[in-house]
Amino acid sequence: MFIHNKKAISIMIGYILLVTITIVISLLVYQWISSYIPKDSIKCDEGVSIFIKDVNYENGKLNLTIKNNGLFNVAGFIIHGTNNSEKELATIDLSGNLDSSGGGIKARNAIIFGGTNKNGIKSNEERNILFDLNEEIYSIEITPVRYQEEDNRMRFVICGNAKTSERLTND
Amino acid sequence: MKRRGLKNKKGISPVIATVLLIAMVIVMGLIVFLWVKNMVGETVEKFEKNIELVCEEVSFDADYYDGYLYLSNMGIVPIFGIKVKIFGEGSHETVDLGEIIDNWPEAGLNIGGTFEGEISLDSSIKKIELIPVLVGDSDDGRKTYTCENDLSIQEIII
Repeated sequence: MFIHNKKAISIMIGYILLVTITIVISLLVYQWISSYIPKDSIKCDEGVSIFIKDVNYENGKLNLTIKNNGLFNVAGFIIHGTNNSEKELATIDLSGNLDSSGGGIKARNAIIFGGTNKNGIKSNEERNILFDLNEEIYSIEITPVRYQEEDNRMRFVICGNAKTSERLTND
Repeated sequence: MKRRGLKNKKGISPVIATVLLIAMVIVMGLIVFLWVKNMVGETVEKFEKNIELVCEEVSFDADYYDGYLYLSNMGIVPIFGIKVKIFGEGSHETVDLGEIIDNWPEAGLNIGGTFEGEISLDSSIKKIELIPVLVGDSDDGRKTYTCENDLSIQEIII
């Protein structure tokens, strides 16, 4: 049976429609998926390490010597304290008690050396820092911080895995 | 059967028909796009990626002792807020930390920041879960996002 005089969309227009619909759908999917593409998250390098070489705590004055015993330069450290032996988490931020006559400057919640965006404590170097504490501190916890480059800009990174602590008083 | 002629029948020229078809497809495509976009939900971004991915980088320590809640943000993501899921006898409820503690900082807990605040919990409460809330950018401006994934949540047994 022949189909004479039957109307239909021409093949060309059919192609145009298909291609246009495909392009629209692919743009939709791309826009949705693109934000889910995981980018490498910035992490502290594995070889970062500092330790408390010497500590003297007397009459509210804390004299601290830290040493970079890791493979990478660090910018400084975050220092937190506890005020009794039963508290497990150190949450007293001692960076505000920095005695400016010693070394380091306070930046964000950390004590840094060499200025912002610089990792001023090289490997095997030591730094001496003074704190004027206004309450009795039982123990301290220091965590190194670094500036690391990501996407052509320096980002401030806390190296939580390299945290170290020291008890100051006997309870 | 007589064949009916199609003489003197009016119709749209093929060129105009093509233009109309393409225009209709574009309009339909836009309608579908907007509909799907509303259905999928708005994307909130932080650090130039989807905020759900940023949740996996959140890292904080928490402790509860003697009526005080202690928090320490040792990750690389600032925490804007905290939701507290309180588990009691056979039930649980989720509240915003700012509603049960007076001194939660308005800007949240920055990287390296610490917080301690007095929180009164009923003796029947067995455990609490702390769920971080981040703030990111969307087409409608700054928006908060609650990180519900297990990696971000901190559990404290009372």
